[in-house]
Amino acid sequence: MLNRSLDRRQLLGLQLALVVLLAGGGARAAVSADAARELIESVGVEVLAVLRNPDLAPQEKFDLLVELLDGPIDLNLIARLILGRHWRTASEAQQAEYLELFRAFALDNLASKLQVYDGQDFEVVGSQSVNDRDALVQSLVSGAGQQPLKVDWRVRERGDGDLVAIDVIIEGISLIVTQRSEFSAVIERSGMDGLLAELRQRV
Amino acid sequence: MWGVLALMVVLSEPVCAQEGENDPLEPVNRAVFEFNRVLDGMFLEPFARIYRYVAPEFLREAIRNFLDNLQTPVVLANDIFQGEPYRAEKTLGRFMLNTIMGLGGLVDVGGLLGMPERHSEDFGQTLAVYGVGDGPYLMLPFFGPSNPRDTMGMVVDVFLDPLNYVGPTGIGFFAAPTEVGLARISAEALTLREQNIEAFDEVKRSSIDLYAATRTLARQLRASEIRNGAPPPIDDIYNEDLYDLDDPEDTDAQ
Repeated sequence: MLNRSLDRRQLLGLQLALVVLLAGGGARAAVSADAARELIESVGVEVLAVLRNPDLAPQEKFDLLVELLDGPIDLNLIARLILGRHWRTASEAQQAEYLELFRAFALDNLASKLQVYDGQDFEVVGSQSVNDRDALVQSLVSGAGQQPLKVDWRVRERGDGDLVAIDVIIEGISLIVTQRSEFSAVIERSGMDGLLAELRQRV
Repeated sequence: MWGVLALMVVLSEPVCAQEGENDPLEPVNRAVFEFNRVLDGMFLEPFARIYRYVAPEFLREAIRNFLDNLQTPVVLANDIFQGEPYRAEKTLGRFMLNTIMGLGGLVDVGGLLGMPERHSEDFGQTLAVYGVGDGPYLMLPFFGPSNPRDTMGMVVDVFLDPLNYVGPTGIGFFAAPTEVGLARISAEALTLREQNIEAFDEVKRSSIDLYAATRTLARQLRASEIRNGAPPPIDDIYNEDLYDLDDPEDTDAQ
C-alpha cells in the first residue's frame, strides 16, 4: 500500500527532506565544534595574557584567573561528574558541602599550578564534535626544550545554551576519571562523610 | 609460556572499559605499594635528586638517548608484531641514524632532523592490540603498577631483546653479563625517576588517596600508550543523567 501511494516525486521529496535533515544535523554539530574551539582559544589567550603580565603580583594573577575561568569552566558540573553514582545517594546537605569544598579544592590546585608556570605557550590545533552536545578541542602546551604536551578539552553545550569546559585530558589522562577513581576509593572506605573530611583537610 | 598466555586470554576481560576498579588484590597491592614507596624514599628519589644535581642536562639527555636507543630493537619487534610498518620504519631509521651518526645513540640525530616524537612499544601493548584485556591490577615490588598482561609482556620483552643474547663469552641466551643488565635497569630507573620528580611531587601533594591516584594514572597512561596517543573513546562518564535520573535537565551551574 505505502509503496504504491508514494509516487516518484513524493519519493524525491522524502529523500530531499532526509538529506536536509541529515545535513542540518551535521551543520549543527560542526558549529558546536567550531564554537568550542573559539571558546578554548579565546580563554587561552586571556589566560596567557594574565600569566605573562609582569606587573601583576601572584595574588592578583590568581584573582584574575579565577574570574576568567569561572564562567567557561563549570566546576559544579565537573564536581558532579566526578562523584558519579555517589551523587544521588548523598544527602542534600552533603551535596551542598561537597560542591563548596570541591570548588576550594580546585582553586587550591589552580594556585599551585600557577607557581610552576614557566613561559609555556598554548595553541589550539583542532576540534571535533563527539556527540550532539559535546566537542573535543585539541591543544598543545609547549615550553622551551620540552616535548609539547597534548591537552584536550571536553566542551559541553549546556541546557541553557552556554558552552562550558567539563574535562581536561592531558596526554590521555582525564581529570574526571582520575578524581573520580580517587574520590570513590575514599567513599568506599569511609563513606561520603569520609570524603568530605579529607577535602576539608585539604582546603 | 604459551599455556600461561592462553590462560590469560581466557581469564581476562575484553579491552574495553569496565565499571569498577578491578583490583581484587587491593590489600596486598596496597602493602606492596607501601614497600615500593619506602624503597623510593630511601634510595630512588634521593639518588634521582643527586643525579639531577651533579649531572648537567646535556649529559642526562645523552644518557636518556642512549638508553632509548638500546630499547629500540624491542620497540621495532613490537611495531612489527602490531602490523605498524610506518612506525616500524621510523623506529628502524632513527636507530640507524642515532647509532651510526649519533655516537652509538648518545645523540638523537633523528630528533635533531625533525623526526616525530619517539614512541615506545612493548609486548604488553602488542597483546592489547591483539585483544587481550589487562586483567586485575597488580602492584609489583620494584617494578610498580602492572597487570597480568603487561607482566607477561615484560617477560617476553626480555627474550625479545637481542642485547640479552650477546656477551664476551659468546652468543646465547643470557650470555650478556648480569652486571650489564643490572646497570642498564638501574640507569633506566634513575633516569625515569629524575624526569618525574616534579610530577610525583605534584601527585603526592594533590591526591587524597595516593594508591588510588597511582592506580588510575597508571591505567590511563597505559591505555593512552596502547591507543598510540589517540584521544580516549567516548564513554558514559560525561553523562550526568545516568547518575541523576530524578533530575535529567539540571545541568546549571550555580
